[in-house]
Amino acid sequence: MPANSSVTLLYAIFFILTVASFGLAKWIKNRSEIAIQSSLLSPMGSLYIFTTAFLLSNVIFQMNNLRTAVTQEVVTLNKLGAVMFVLPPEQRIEGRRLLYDYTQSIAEDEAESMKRGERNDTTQAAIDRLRDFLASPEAALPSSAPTTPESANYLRKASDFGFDLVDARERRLSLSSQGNPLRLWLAIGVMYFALTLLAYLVHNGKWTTIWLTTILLMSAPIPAVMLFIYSNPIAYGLFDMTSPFRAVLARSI
Amino acid sequence: MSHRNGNRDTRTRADRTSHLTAACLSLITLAIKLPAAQANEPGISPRSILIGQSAPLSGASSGIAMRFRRGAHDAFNEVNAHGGIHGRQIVMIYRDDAYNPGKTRTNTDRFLTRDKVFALFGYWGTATTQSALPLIEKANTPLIAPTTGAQLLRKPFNKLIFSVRASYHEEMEVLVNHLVRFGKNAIAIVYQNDSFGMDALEGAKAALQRLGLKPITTVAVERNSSDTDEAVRQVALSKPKGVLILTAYPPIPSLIRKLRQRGSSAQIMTHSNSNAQNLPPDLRHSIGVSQVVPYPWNPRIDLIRDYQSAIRNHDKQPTYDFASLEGYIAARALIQALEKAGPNPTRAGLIKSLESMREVDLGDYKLKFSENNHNGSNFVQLTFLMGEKGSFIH
Repeated sequence: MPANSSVTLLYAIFFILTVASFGLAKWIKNRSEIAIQSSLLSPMGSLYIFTTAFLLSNVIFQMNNLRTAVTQEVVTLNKLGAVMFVLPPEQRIEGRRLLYDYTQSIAEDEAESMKRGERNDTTQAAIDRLRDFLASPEAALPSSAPTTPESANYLRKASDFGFDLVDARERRLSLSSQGNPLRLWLAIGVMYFALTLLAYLVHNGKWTTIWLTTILLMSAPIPAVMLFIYSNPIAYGLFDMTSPFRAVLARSI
Repeated sequence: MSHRNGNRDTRTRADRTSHLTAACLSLITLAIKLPAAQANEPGISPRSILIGQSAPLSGASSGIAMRFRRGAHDAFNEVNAHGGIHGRQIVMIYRDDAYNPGKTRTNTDRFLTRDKVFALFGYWGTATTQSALPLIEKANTPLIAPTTGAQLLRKPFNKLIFSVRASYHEEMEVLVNHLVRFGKNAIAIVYQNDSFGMDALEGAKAALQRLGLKPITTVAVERNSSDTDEAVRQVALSKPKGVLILTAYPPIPSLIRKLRQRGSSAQIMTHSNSNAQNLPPDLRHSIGVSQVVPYPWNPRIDLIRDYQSAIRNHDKQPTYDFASLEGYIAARALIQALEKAGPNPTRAGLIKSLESMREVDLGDYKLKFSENNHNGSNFVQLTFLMGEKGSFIH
């Protein structure tokens, strides 16, 4: 589901929950005389704030992890490009072309797929071609090549960076798609319903109810929005994944 | 005695006068003769050396020719700023031929008869240069650094033409070898239907033949045309793994776009004079381009450092590229030859001077000429247009 539709749906659900709790509170008040102390709202509100803070910290943690994974991938791309410079020109140009091709595919194809939490077939094909090249004799130094400080450990480094690149991609992909933790969703929904019900039960008056509803609707779904972002930070625009890859393409790998 | 003496004195005085007169006359004659000799050498004046360039300064192929001119101009400016060559400033005059052989011929005629240039320089294109050859040969004027790698300027050997770039056949060798080496044996060729296209096609076929292969299809397109529908249809039907585009710039964007629209993932390769740098950004991805000069952004090469410095000194917004580097190298070769030709250069002297440049090191980049070899370089490297802005990688 597209990110905007998800947020709209989320607000719709919370609107329904608000209306339902208002209706239930009215029904309860009409049927029986109840006297709930308004001070009860305070611990309930605190619990809600703690939950929000917990989710927010998780979102930040998740974002940092994703940023680190992307940075690590960009660094690995740079390193692989750098070690390829010891290859003879005819081999180097093909290796670098494949590296650029893969990087461009991440920035253009996989960044879009990741908004849906999916990997991309074109990018998969690009990394497969790069791995085929690294596994072929074309990626090896000719036996006649002189040994230089940069060429001395070329084979080991090229191999390490090749595998690191696969790891970095998998880490990036896994962090962009966390799935939706249903129990957490239910907990937030129930807690919100309880909070709004309590608020309507302890407050009376037309204007108090209007402002209370407005405030609840404005602020209440925030933890749920956090949960959405947690599930895929790229889709909700909190992290622009393409810019580090575009930057490295603009500079030179 | 005195008379005798007087006679002797008179004779001696007369002799002296006669010797003095003869000496004065000789000096005057020499003084008259020297500028006369220089005045007789077209394009040489006491303060300048005139050279002429005909190139497409308008139209679709103008970008690459303009960049070549800029590189050469910056090299000439640099030497002129330091006093010129033996006190003479190099003056370069340009005429636009819009990549039209008829106009090149007219321009050459004007250079040789009206402007009376000393030498011709940096002619752009094969068919265009070919059209000017009879005039060049008739006037016995050297043509330095034509920006074409066609065989017809190399075989049979022409004593007036000096090239500073590799031939198209050498470029084709590099392009074909790369495609075949990395498994793209099914190669289609789109060539320009003129002497340039035929020359490059022959080079590509020969390179494939050496590997025991043949092109899976060859299709011609007309010069300066962007009507490529039929060519694209034929190429796409042959399902190639690699496509060699051997044309000037005009049909190239349309060929690439239409091939990609048809879903072809063939590796597209083209040559140094394709002006690929001018391709729209969306097409500048994974296009192989052979180059006949070193990578202009690599300051580890002495020549490139000098080139970048010349560009920075003379351009407000310095940008580096292969064509201006080729122009810079061509100009540096001409400058060296003119310096070696001495203070009273002649066309024959310039030819002799160039032929004596057996191994000229321009800074980690060498040009080699001789009496039997007027092709100064066979340097070819492969680049690809890649990355965010479709820049060249090597």
